[in-house]
Amino acid sequence: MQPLWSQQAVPRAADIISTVEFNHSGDLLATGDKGGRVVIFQREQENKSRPHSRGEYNVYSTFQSHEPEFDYLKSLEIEEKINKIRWLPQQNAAHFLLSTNDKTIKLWKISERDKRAEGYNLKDEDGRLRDPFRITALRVPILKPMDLMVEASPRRIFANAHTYHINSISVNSDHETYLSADDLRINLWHLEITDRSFNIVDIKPANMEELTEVITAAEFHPHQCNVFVYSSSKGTIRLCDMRSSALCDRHSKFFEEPEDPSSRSFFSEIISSISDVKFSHSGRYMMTRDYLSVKVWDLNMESRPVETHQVHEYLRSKLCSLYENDCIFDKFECCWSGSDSAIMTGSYNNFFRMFDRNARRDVTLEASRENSKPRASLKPRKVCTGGKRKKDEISVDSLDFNKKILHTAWHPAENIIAVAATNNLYIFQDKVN
Amino acid sequence: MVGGLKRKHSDLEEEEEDEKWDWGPAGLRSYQQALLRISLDKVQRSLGPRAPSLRRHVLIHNTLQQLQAALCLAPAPALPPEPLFLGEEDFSLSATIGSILRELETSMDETEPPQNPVAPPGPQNEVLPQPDPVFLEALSSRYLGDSGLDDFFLDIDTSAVEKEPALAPPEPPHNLFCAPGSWEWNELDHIMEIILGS
Repeated sequence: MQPLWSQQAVPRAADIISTVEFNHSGDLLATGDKGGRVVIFQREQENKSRPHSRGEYNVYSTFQSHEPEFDYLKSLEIEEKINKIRWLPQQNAAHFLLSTNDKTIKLWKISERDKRAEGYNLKDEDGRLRDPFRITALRVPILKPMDLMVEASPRRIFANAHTYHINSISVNSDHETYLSADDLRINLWHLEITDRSFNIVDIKPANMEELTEVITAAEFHPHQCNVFVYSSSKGTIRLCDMRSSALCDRHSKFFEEPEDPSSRSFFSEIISSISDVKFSHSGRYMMTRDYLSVKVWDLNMESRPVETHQVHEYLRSKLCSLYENDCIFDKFECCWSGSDSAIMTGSYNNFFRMFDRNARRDVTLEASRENSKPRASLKPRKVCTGGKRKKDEISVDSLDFNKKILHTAWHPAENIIAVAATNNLYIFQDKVN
Repeated sequence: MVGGLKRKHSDLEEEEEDEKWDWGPAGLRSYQQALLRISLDKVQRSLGPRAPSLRRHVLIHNTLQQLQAALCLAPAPALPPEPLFLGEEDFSLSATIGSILRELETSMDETEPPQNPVAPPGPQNEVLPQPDPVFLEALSSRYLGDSGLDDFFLDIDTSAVEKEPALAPPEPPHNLFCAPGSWEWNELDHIMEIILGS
């Protein structure tokens, strides 16, 4: 059954949202923004007295993850914008996540405190120190309940390992290591060790003039802890096996679709640049996003993708304009549904696209406050590419290219999606029970 | 920035769509040159307080090389000579493009010392048509000593001037070497381009 999406209202964020990520259970949703802040939402428990609020996400914790910095040696500003957040699998009551800006990765611990100690001997309730000579009797402090407080504290800071801008982090299935990738290098870290990392991929040429390709995204395989992939600005994906050698400069598999000579233009390379790569939950497939399409690859077949889905093919005739206004460099992300049966990615005009792989159907939806009332169903949208524009269609020339949906996330088990549109977060849930 | 250089994107797009664009050799060359100007403009604009995006830089650089190759390979039209990028002008463009990534590297990676650009020889014996003075002026003002870009393009100044050791005196008199960024520098370079071009 095709889901009917209803919208939950979320207050406007302070800054442009730059990353969105559900945790492994889907109960927590983290967002990072351009101002270096992380906001975590928690799903409300089911409540019989308020049936409509089932599964609503409310703010759970907010903290400043990164601050702007200045590199005095190179006279360059380092942006505090959070590029990526990745959750660690939960091992105890606390939650851990990695957040990164261009240069530094931080491990944050988010924990709840709902009790406090009372009856200290050396200080009174205000916190003022008591005069030890006045103490005539000792007591044991007791724990009393208090209003729930959520605390975020930085546990590790992984710094000074990247000369270029970090675009990806990925936690390994061994739960001990993770990788971080910048434009030219990929490093392997141990979560406990901050003063050392191993370089596992280095594509920097000896002569920078020969540089023609950069790393755009990287991810660990969900089950095989020795396998990871990285994508490039030339539309290629390399799968590497860390068992084969310490420095994975030589790939185990090389995925590239041969170019269609009939559609070649000066922009062919730019639009082939892969902006995101994601393994399926099953680990058998991976998905890549380039400027105009989403492709699903079978890891056993390197010659071409098994599926290609057009996101906004009507933009192909507008590439010159999009090159001039820089939109052609926008990096869209993509995500799988929990069962891998559907994939989702963003577009312009606050549109996002969903592809049902089994039913071979796709839909365009819009994230907008004006058009959707909370709990009303989303209406499919259509872009008119030429000829007579039907009612409710929008023409290509009316699209707002400043309203871009770059970041989306899908709940790991249910049909709940999070869509970031500039500084608005939209959460949609499937009404069909 | 020189006025009238930059075509409005709506013009470019309109002509593409309505197919009023003359897709003959002259029209195609105009389109390619427009793309070239847009690309060079992008490189200039990407400088700022933050380290530029390497991905964006590399993609633009690759596009520039494609455009350069296309403009070199295209045969000269029989009709009124279009501005072309051959010989010396093409050479200085190569040096410019090559220097962009080198300068980017030195600005981002402290361990690599800046290399002096080695000037590859351009084709000396071809007949060189008249270069587009408007474009060359823009090129020289942007890349050869523009005061806002001193840190980025100082090396390019030297390579463009020193590419013809036979022509340049080994110990130039003081009055010929003005400060980069001054109007005399731009004028001198402009004159040199025309001299070498004819």
